Amino acid sequence: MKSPMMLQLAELDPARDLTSPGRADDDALAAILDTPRRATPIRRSRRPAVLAGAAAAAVVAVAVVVTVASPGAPPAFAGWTAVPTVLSDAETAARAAPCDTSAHTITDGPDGPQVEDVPISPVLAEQRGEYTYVLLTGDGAVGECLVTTQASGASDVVTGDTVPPAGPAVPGPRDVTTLQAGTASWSEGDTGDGALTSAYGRAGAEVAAVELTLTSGERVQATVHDGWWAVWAPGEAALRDTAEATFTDGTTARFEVAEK
Amino acid sequence: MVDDTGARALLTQMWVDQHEAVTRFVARRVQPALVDDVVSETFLVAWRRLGDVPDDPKPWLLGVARNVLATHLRTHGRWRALGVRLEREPEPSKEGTDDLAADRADLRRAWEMLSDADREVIALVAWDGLTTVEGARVLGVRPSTFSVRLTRARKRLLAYSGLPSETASVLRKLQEAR
Repeated sequence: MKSPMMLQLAELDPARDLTSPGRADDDALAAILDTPRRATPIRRSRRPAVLAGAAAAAVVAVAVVVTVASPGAPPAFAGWTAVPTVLSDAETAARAAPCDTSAHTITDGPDGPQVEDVPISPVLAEQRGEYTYVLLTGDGAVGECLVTTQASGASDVVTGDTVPPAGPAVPGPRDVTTLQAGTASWSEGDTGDGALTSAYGRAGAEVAAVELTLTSGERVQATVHDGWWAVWAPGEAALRDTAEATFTDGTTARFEVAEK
Repeated sequence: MVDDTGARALLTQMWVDQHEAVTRFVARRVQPALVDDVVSETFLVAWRRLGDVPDDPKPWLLGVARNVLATHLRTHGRWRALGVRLEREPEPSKEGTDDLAADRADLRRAWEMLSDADREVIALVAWDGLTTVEGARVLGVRPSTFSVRLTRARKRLLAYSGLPSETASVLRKLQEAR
């Protein structure tokens, strides 16, 4: 027996006009039936250090794909360059437009998970080929966003956000700190599977350049901008964990790309 | 253990019978672009755990879909979107000015004031057409717990919809300030 209120409520059902009968010849069903019934784990790439470090407020930082409209996106990172083009603040703002403007902390509460939004805004953006990487920060939270621009003008956006356990402390003039380093991968959206390795952190006022090395041996230049540094490379575990900083006086120092 | 031919037949039947119900359940909770993925992933879980699926698969499937959604939205950093949506607000001109339309507007406003948890129990009954026992199975709680939640949620919905809109918005602000 339904009350009049429940019946009235039924009219407000957003899906009441949705018809979606299951067809035995549906391709989506065929795809499921083609998979082995023994479970293969769905890949959820997390950055282990972050999950381990954030015990109380379990901070989730996984890269995800939000497809804006992009039929036939390229599967690999064709055109990626080891030397980035650093974008001006104005360009950064424009390129960051499709990125999330808030990071999210999730804590378990008595009524289930509680979400808190932390507003973030771009601090750094760099371009490698057709890929724009944007680092966004705000009140202890950090977001990453990779925008792939198609020739048609459509774009794919991959984002992840986190609240690093250490928090982005203001570095000393010759300090280079790492807030996060590791693989982010995704398996959704029209882009299909993808993975990249990124690292970012704070850079002191006298840090002029940061250079890392790919596991292949190739040198890759990070972007240093406004007290932050960041770098990314295609694929999983693509970066070695030592890097070199060059200071404004021309001297250099090696440092570990490791989360504190 | 179900043999392979039997398994294919079982899942195909489940797909034919339950695809629409699962799709609607999911469509109320995420943006359209994600619906098909979540539905497929739900049936994929059923395929891999066919032995666990009870004779009445619908509540089980909706429960799985709910978990898939939570995982998706958590990884998407948009957990908040899990809340059940309401039909898009109609344009004022189409809403009309008669009593029925006014009732609907009250109800909509009241619905928007409910917590996500309240909306969820009500939606399972009003929209998914589930019984208390089935709804409880979706949420993984005891039927008595579900009944209590449903009763409270309905009381709140009724109370909110009977309030003049100014009082209602004050009440809502108080709730948010809690």
